[in-house]
Amino acid sequence: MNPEQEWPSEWLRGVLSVCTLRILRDGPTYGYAIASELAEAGLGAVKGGTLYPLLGRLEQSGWVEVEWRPGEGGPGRKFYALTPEGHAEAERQAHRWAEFTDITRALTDQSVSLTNQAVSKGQQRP
Amino acid sequence: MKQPNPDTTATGGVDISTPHVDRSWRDTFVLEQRLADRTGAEIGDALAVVDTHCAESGESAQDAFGDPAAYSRSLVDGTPARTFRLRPATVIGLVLGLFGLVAVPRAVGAWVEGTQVAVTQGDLVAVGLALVLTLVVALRSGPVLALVRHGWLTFVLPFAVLIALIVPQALLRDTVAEFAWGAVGAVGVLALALQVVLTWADFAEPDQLLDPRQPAPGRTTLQWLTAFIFPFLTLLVLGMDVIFRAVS
Repeated sequence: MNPEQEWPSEWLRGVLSVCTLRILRDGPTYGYAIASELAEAGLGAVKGGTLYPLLGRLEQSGWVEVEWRPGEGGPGRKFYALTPEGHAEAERQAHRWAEFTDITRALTDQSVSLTNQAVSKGQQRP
Repeated sequence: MKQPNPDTTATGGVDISTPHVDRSWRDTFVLEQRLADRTGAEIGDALAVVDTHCAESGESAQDAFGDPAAYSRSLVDGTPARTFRLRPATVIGLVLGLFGLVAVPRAVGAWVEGTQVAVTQGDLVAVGLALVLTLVVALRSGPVLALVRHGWLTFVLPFAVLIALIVPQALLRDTVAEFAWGAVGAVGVLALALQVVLTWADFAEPDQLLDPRQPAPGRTTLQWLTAFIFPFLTLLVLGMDVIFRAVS
Protein backbone atom coordinates (compact mmCIF):
# COMPACT_ATOMS: atom_id res chain seq x y z
CA MET A 1 0.00 0.00 0.00
CA ASN A 2 1.12 3.53 -0.66
CA PRO A 3 2.21 4.78 2.81
CA GLU A 4 0.31 8.02 2.19
CA GLN A 5 -2.90 6.11 1.49
CA GLU A 6 -5.21 5.37 4.39
CA TRP A 7 -7.80 2.63 4.28
CA PRO A 8 -11.34 3.64 5.23
CA SER A 9 -11.76 3.27 8.99
CA GLU A 10 -14.93 1.14 8.53
CA TRP A 11 -12.89 -1.41 6.56
CA LEU A 12 -10.17 -1.47 9.23
CA ARG A 13 -12.72 -1.93 12.02
CA GLY A 14 -14.02 -5.03 10.26
CA VAL A 15 -10.69 -6.65 9.52
CA LEU A 16 -8.66 -5.66 12.58
CA SER A 17 -9.84 -8.49 14.81
CA VAL A 18 -9.07 -11.25 12.30
CA CYS A 19 -5.67 -9.73 11.46
CA THR A 20 -4.71 -9.30 15.12
CA LEU A 21 -5.68 -12.89 15.87
CA ARG A 22 -3.60 -13.94 12.86
CA ILE A 23 -0.51 -12.13 14.22
CA LEU A 24 -1.01 -13.71 17.64
CA ARG A 25 -0.98 -17.18 16.03
CA ASP A 26 2.77 -16.64 15.53
CA GLY A 27 3.25 -16.46 19.30
CA PRO A 28 2.87 -14.10 22.29
CA THR A 29 3.67 -10.48 21.55
CA TYR A 30 2.97 -6.96 22.85
CA GLY A 31 0.76 -4.12 21.65
CA TYR A 32 3.31 -1.93 19.89
CA ALA A 33 4.75 -4.97 18.03
CA ILE A 34 1.23 -5.89 16.86
CA ALA A 35 0.66 -2.31 15.64
CA SER A 36 4.02 -2.41 13.82
CA GLU A 37 3.21 -5.73 12.14
CA LEU A 38 -0.18 -4.46 11.03
CA ALA A 39 1.50 -1.37 9.56
CA GLU A 40 4.18 -3.46 7.82
CA ALA A 41 1.48 -5.72 6.40
CA GLY A 42 0.04 -2.65 4.67
CA LEU A 43 -2.91 -1.80 6.87
CA GLY A 44 -1.46 1.58 7.83
CA ALA A 45 -0.96 3.04 11.30
CA VAL A 46 -3.36 1.51 13.81
CA LYS A 47 -3.68 3.82 16.80
CA GLY A 48 -3.34 2.56 20.37
CA GLY A 49 -6.82 3.91 21.03
CA THR A 50 -8.17 1.38 18.50
CA LEU A 51 -5.87 -1.57 19.15
CA TYR A 52 -5.95 -1.91 22.94
CA PRO A 53 -9.75 -1.84 23.38
CA LEU A 54 -9.84 -4.61 20.72
CA LEU A 55 -7.22 -6.61 22.65
CA GLY A 56 -9.31 -6.06 25.80
CA ARG A 57 -12.38 -7.46 24.03
CA LEU A 58 -10.38 -10.48 22.82
CA GLU A 59 -9.25 -11.03 26.41
CA GLN A 60 -12.83 -10.78 27.72
CA SER A 61 -13.92 -13.32 25.11
CA GLY A 62 -11.38 -15.75 26.53
CA TRP A 63 -9.39 -15.87 23.27
CA VAL A 64 -6.37 -14.01 24.61
CA GLU A 65 -4.52 -14.16 27.91
CA VAL A 66 -2.17 -11.44 29.14
CA GLU A 67 1.02 -11.29 31.15
CA TRP A 68 3.30 -8.41 32.16
CA ARG A 69 6.93 -9.20 31.42
CA PRO A 70 9.85 -7.07 32.65
CA GLY A 71 11.57 -5.05 29.93
CA GLU A 72 15.25 -5.25 29.17
CA GLY A 73 16.51 -1.87 30.33
CA GLY A 74 13.10 -0.36 29.57
CA PRO A 75 9.57 -0.46 30.91
CA GLY A 76 7.82 -3.79 31.24
CA ARG A 77 5.54 -4.91 28.46
CA LYS A 78 2.12 -6.47 28.49
CA PHE A 79 2.24 -9.61 26.35
CA TYR A 80 -0.81 -11.05 24.67
CA ALA A 81 -1.04 -14.76 23.87
CA LEU A 82 -3.77 -16.86 22.27
CA THR A 83 -5.56 -19.34 24.48
CA PRO A 84 -6.50 -22.74 22.98
CA GLU A 85 -9.97 -21.26 22.30
CA GLY A 86 -8.24 -18.25 20.74
CA HIS A 87 -6.27 -20.48 18.35
CA ALA A 88 -9.49 -22.17 17.23
CA GLU A 89 -11.23 -18.79 16.87
CA ALA A 90 -8.30 -17.34 14.88
CA GLU A 91 -8.52 -20.24 12.45
CA ARG A 92 -12.30 -20.01 12.21
CA GLN A 93 -12.20 -16.23 11.58
CA ALA A 94 -9.45 -16.62 8.96
CA HIS A 95 -11.58 -19.14 7.03
CA ARG A 96 -14.72 -17.02 7.35
CA TRP A 97 -12.81 -13.94 6.22
CA ALA A 98 -11.47 -15.83 3.19
CA GLU A 99 -15.04 -16.79 2.22
CA PHE A 100 -16.19 -13.23 2.74
CA THR A 101 -13.43 -11.71 0.65
CA ASP A 102 -14.02 -14.31 -2.10
CA ILE A 103 -17.60 -13.04 -2.32
CA THR A 104 -16.66 -9.37 -2.27
CA ARG A 105 -13.82 -9.93 -4.74
CA ALA A 106 -16.21 -11.72 -7.09
CA LEU A 107 -18.46 -8.66 -7.00
CA THR A 108 -15.86 -5.95 -7.15
CA ASP A 109 -13.68 -7.71 -9.72
CA GLN A 110 -16.62 -7.46 -12.16
CA SER A 111 -16.65 -3.75 -11.55
CA VAL A 112 -12.87 -3.51 -12.00
CA SER A 113 -12.96 -5.52 -15.25
CA LEU A 114 -15.84 -3.38 -16.59
CA THR A 115 -13.83 -0.24 -15.78
CA ASN A 116 -10.73 -1.69 -17.43
CA GLN A 117 -12.76 -2.60 -20.53
CA ALA A 118 -14.18 0.91 -20.72
CA VAL A 119 -10.73 2.43 -20.35
CA SER A 120 -9.25 0.21 -23.02
CA LYS A 121 -12.16 1.00 -25.39
CA GLY A 122 -11.67 4.68 -24.76
CA GLN A 123 -7.99 4.38 -25.55
CA GLN A 124 -8.77 2.57 -28.83
CA ARG A 125 -11.05 5.42 -30.03
CA PRO A 126 -9.43 7.92 -32.39
CA MET B 1 11.53 9.28 19.82
CA LYS B 2 9.94 12.03 21.84
CA GLN B 3 11.63 12.79 25.15
CA PRO B 4 9.58 12.26 28.32
CA ASN B 5 7.99 15.42 29.64
CA PRO B 6 9.70 16.00 33.01
CA ASP B 7 6.46 17.45 34.36
CA THR B 8 4.82 14.06 34.08
CA THR B 9 7.27 11.97 36.06
CA ALA B 10 5.94 12.81 39.53
CA THR B 11 3.31 10.44 40.86
CA GLY B 12 1.20 13.34 42.15
CA GLY B 13 -0.90 11.11 44.39
CA VAL B 14 -1.14 8.48 41.66
CA ASP B 15 0.76 5.34 42.65
CA ILE B 16 2.12 4.72 39.18
CA SER B 17 4.85 6.54 37.33
CA THR B 18 3.82 7.37 33.75
CA PRO B 19 6.66 9.55 32.45
CA HIS B 20 5.52 9.25 28.83
CA VAL B 21 1.94 10.33 29.47
CA ASP B 22 0.97 13.96 29.75
CA ARG B 23 -0.30 14.74 33.24
CA SER B 24 -3.61 16.34 32.19
CA TRP B 25 -4.38 13.38 29.86
CA ARG B 26 -3.62 10.95 32.70
CA ASP B 27 -5.67 12.86 35.28
CA THR B 28 -8.74 12.99 33.02
CA PHE B 29 -8.36 9.29 32.17
CA VAL B 30 -8.07 8.31 35.86
CA LEU B 31 -11.12 10.42 36.76
CA GLU B 32 -13.23 8.82 34.01
CA GLN B 33 -12.08 5.34 35.01
CA ARG B 34 -12.94 6.02 38.66
CA LEU B 35 -16.38 7.29 37.64
CA ALA B 36 -16.84 4.02 35.73
CA ASP B 37 -16.01 2.26 39.03
CA ARG B 38 -12.87 0.59 37.67
CA THR B 39 -10.54 -0.71 40.38
CA GLY B 40 -7.13 0.79 41.10
CA ALA B 41 -5.48 -2.33 39.67
CA GLU B 42 -7.48 -2.06 36.42
CA ILE B 43 -6.74 1.65 36.04
CA GLY B 44 -3.04 1.13 36.82
CA ASP B 45 -2.88 -1.65 34.23
CA ALA B 46 -4.51 0.53 31.55
CA LEU B 47 -2.21 3.46 32.38
CA ALA B 48 0.88 1.24 32.21
CA VAL B 49 -0.23 0.06 28.74
CA VAL B 50 -0.61 3.67 27.58
CA ASP B 51 2.76 4.61 29.06
CA THR B 52 4.69 1.73 27.49
CA HIS B 53 2.99 2.23 24.10
CA CYS B 54 3.86 5.94 24.12
CA ALA B 55 7.44 5.13 25.20
CA GLU B 56 7.87 2.74 22.26
CA SER B 57 5.98 4.65 19.57
CA GLY B 58 7.24 8.11 20.57
CA GLU B 59 3.67 9.39 20.22
CA SER B 60 1.88 11.45 22.84
CA ALA B 61 -1.06 9.83 24.63
CA GLN B 62 -3.37 12.32 22.89
CA ASP B 63 -2.04 11.33 19.44
CA ALA B 64 -2.00 7.57 20.05
CA PHE B 65 -5.12 7.18 22.19
CA GLY B 66 -7.16 10.31 21.43
CA ASP B 67 -9.43 11.96 23.96
CA PRO B 68 -8.84 10.35 27.41
CA ALA B 69 -12.54 10.30 28.32
CA ALA B 70 -13.45 8.64 25.00
CA TYR B 71 -10.60 6.12 25.39
CA SER B 72 -11.78 5.33 28.92
CA ARG B 73 -15.30 4.70 27.59
CA SER B 74 -13.92 2.46 24.81
CA LEU B 75 -12.28 0.27 27.47
CA VAL B 76 -15.46 0.08 29.53
CA ASP B 77 -17.93 -0.43 26.64
CA GLY B 78 -18.98 -4.03 26.33
CA THR B 79 -17.94 -4.93 29.86
CA PRO B 80 -20.61 -5.77 32.46
CA ALA B 81 -22.10 -2.55 33.89
CA ARG B 82 -21.10 -1.73 37.43
CA THR B 83 -23.20 0.32 39.81
CA PHE B 84 -21.05 2.33 42.16
CA ARG B 85 -22.28 2.19 45.73
CA LEU B 86 -20.60 3.38 48.90
CA ARG B 87 -20.24 0.57 51.40
CA PRO B 88 -22.63 0.77 54.38
CA ALA B 89 -19.58 0.90 56.70
CA THR B 90 -18.30 3.97 54.83
CA VAL B 91 -21.66 5.76 55.15
CA ILE B 92 -22.03 4.90 58.83
CA GLY B 93 -18.44 6.02 59.48
CA LEU B 94 -19.18 9.33 57.73
CA VAL B 95 -22.30 9.96 59.82
CA LEU B 96 -20.53 8.99 63.08
CA GLY B 97 -17.58 11.23 62.21
CA LEU B 98 -19.88 14.19 61.56
CA PHE B 99 -21.72 13.55 64.84
CA GLY B 100 -18.47 13.39 66.83
CA LEU B 101 -17.18 16.52 65.12
CA VAL B 102 -20.25 18.44 66.35
CA ALA B 103 -20.81 16.73 69.72
CA VAL B 104 -17.33 16.80 71.26
CA PRO B 105 -16.66 20.57 70.87
CA ARG B 106 -20.18 21.32 72.17
CA ALA B 107 -19.63 19.08 75.21
CA VAL B 108 -16.29 20.74 75.92
CA GLY B 109 -17.91 24.19 75.52
CA ALA B 110 -20.71 23.27 77.97
CA TRP B 111 -18.15 21.87 80.44
CA VAL B 112 -16.11 25.11 80.32
CA GLU B 113 -19.24 27.26 80.75
CA GLY B 114 -20.74 24.95 83.42
CA THR B 115 -23.95 24.42 81.44
CA GLN B 116 -25.68 21.60 79.63
CA VAL B 117 -25.55 20.84 75.91
CA ALA B 118 -28.67 22.39 74.37
CA VAL B 119 -30.17 20.86 71.25
CA THR B 120 -32.11 23.46 69.24
CA GLN B 121 -34.70 23.20 66.45
CA GLY B 122 -31.98 24.36 64.07
CA ASP B 123 -29.79 21.44 65.17
CA LEU B 124 -32.56 18.97 64.30
CA VAL B 125 -33.11 20.58 60.88
CA ALA B 126 -29.35 20.50 60.20
CA VAL B 127 -29.11 16.84 61.25
CA GLY B 128 -32.08 15.95 59.01
CA LEU B 129 -30.49 17.78 56.10
CA ALA B 130 -27.13 16.09 56.70
CA LEU B 131 -28.80 12.66 56.75
CA VAL B 132 -30.67 13.40 53.49
CA LEU B 133 -27.42 14.52 51.81
CA THR B 134 -25.62 11.42 53.09
CA LEU B 135 -28.41 9.19 51.74
CA VAL B 136 -28.25 10.94 48.36
CA VAL B 137 -24.48 10.39 48.19
CA ALA B 138 -24.84 6.78 49.35
CA LEU B 139 -27.67 5.79 46.99
CA ARG B 140 -26.89 7.98 43.97
CA SER B 141 -23.13 8.24 44.31
CA GLY B 142 -22.51 7.81 40.56
CA PRO B 143 -24.28 11.03 39.45
CA VAL B 144 -23.02 12.87 42.55
CA LEU B 145 -19.43 11.86 41.90
CA ALA B 146 -19.85 12.82 38.24
CA LEU B 147 -20.15 16.42 39.47
CA VAL B 148 -16.38 16.39 40.04
CA ARG B 149 -16.03 16.68 36.24
CA HIS B 150 -16.89 20.35 36.82
CA GLY B 151 -13.94 21.77 38.73
CA TRP B 152 -15.77 24.84 40.01
CA LEU B 153 -18.55 22.69 41.52
CA THR B 154 -16.10 20.70 43.65
CA PHE B 155 -14.91 24.00 45.05
CA VAL B 156 -18.35 25.57 45.58
CA LEU B 157 -20.35 22.51 46.76
CA PRO B 158 -18.64 21.98 50.17
CA PHE B 159 -19.24 25.65 51.03
CA ALA B 160 -22.87 25.44 49.86
CA VAL B 161 -23.44 22.36 52.05
CA LEU B 162 -21.75 24.03 55.03
CA ILE B 163 -23.92 27.15 54.68
CA ALA B 164 -27.05 24.99 54.29
CA LEU B 165 -26.20 23.30 57.60
CA ILE B 166 -25.24 26.46 59.50
CA VAL B 167 -28.18 28.69 58.47
CA PRO B 168 -30.93 26.67 60.21
CA GLN B 169 -28.82 26.47 63.39
CA ALA B 170 -28.36 30.26 63.35
CA LEU B 171 -32.05 31.02 62.73
CA LEU B 172 -33.88 28.36 64.78
CA ARG B 173 -32.46 28.78 68.29
CA ASP B 174 -35.36 27.44 70.42
CA THR B 175 -34.09 24.67 72.72
CA VAL B 176 -35.74 21.29 72.19
CA ALA B 177 -33.75 19.23 74.73
CA GLU B 178 -30.74 19.46 77.03
CA PHE B 179 -28.13 16.79 77.84
CA ALA B 180 -25.31 16.53 80.37
CA TRP B 181 -21.99 17.53 78.81
CA GLY B 182 -20.32 14.34 80.08
CA ALA B 183 -22.79 12.08 78.30
CA VAL B 184 -22.61 14.06 75.06
CA GLY B 185 -18.80 14.12 75.22
CA ALA B 186 -18.57 10.37 75.87
CA VAL B 187 -20.95 9.54 72.99
CA GLY B 188 -19.05 11.95 70.73
CA VAL B 189 -15.67 10.37 71.51
CA LEU B 190 -17.15 6.90 71.01
CA ALA B 191 -18.56 8.00 67.63
CA LEU B 192 -15.14 9.30 66.57
CA ALA B 193 -13.44 6.08 67.65
CA LEU B 194 -15.96 3.99 65.71
CA GLN B 195 -15.49 6.23 62.66
CA VAL B 196 -11.71 5.60 62.73
CA VAL B 197 -12.23 1.84 63.03
CA LEU B 198 -14.81 1.72 60.20
CA THR B 199 -12.75 3.91 57.88
CA TRP B 200 -9.65 1.91 58.65
CA ALA B 201 -11.50 -1.33 57.90
CA ASP B 202 -12.40 0.18 54.51
CA PHE B 203 -8.71 0.56 53.81
CA ALA B 204 -8.05 -3.11 54.59
CA GLU B 205 -8.55 -3.47 50.85
CA PRO B 206 -6.91 -0.30 49.50
CA ASP B 207 -7.93 0.62 45.98
CA GLN B 208 -4.98 2.75 45.01
CA LEU B 209 -3.66 2.73 41.47
CA LEU B 210 -1.33 -0.23 41.13
CA ASP B 211 1.50 -0.34 38.62
CA PRO B 212 1.65 -3.89 37.21
CA ARG B 213 5.33 -3.24 36.41
CA GLN B 214 6.16 -2.64 40.10
CA PRO B 215 5.70 -4.60 43.35
CA ALA B 216 2.46 -3.71 45.17
CA PRO B 217 3.01 -0.90 47.71
CA GLY B 218 1.75 -0.88 51.31
CA ARG B 219 -0.63 1.56 52.95
CA THR B 220 0.17 5.18 52.35
CA THR B 221 0.41 8.13 54.73
CA LEU B 222 -2.62 9.58 52.95
CA GLN B 223 -4.71 6.58 54.01
CA TRP B 224 -3.66 6.95 57.63
CA LEU B 225 -4.58 10.65 57.51
CA THR B 226 -7.95 9.88 55.92
CA ALA B 227 -8.88 7.39 58.65
CA PHE B 228 -8.13 9.99 61.32
CA ILE B 229 -9.66 12.97 59.49
CA PHE B 230 -12.64 13.47 61.83
CA PRO B 231 -10.66 13.28 65.12
CA PHE B 232 -8.18 15.67 63.51
CA LEU B 233 -10.97 18.09 62.51
CA THR B 234 -12.47 17.82 66.01
CA LEU B 235 -9.12 18.76 67.58
CA LEU B 236 -8.87 21.62 65.09
CA VAL B 237 -12.31 22.94 66.11
CA LEU B 238 -11.40 22.59 69.82
CA GLY B 239 -8.13 24.44 69.23
CA MET B 240 -9.92 27.26 67.41
CA ASP B 241 -12.43 27.40 70.27
CA VAL B 242 -9.62 27.73 72.84
CA ILE B 243 -8.02 30.54 70.82
CA PHE B 244 -11.42 32.27 70.41
CA ARG B 245 -12.07 32.10 74.19
CA ALA B 246 -8.56 33.35 74.95
CA VAL B 247 -8.86 36.46 72.77
CA SER B 248 -12.48 37.31 73.64
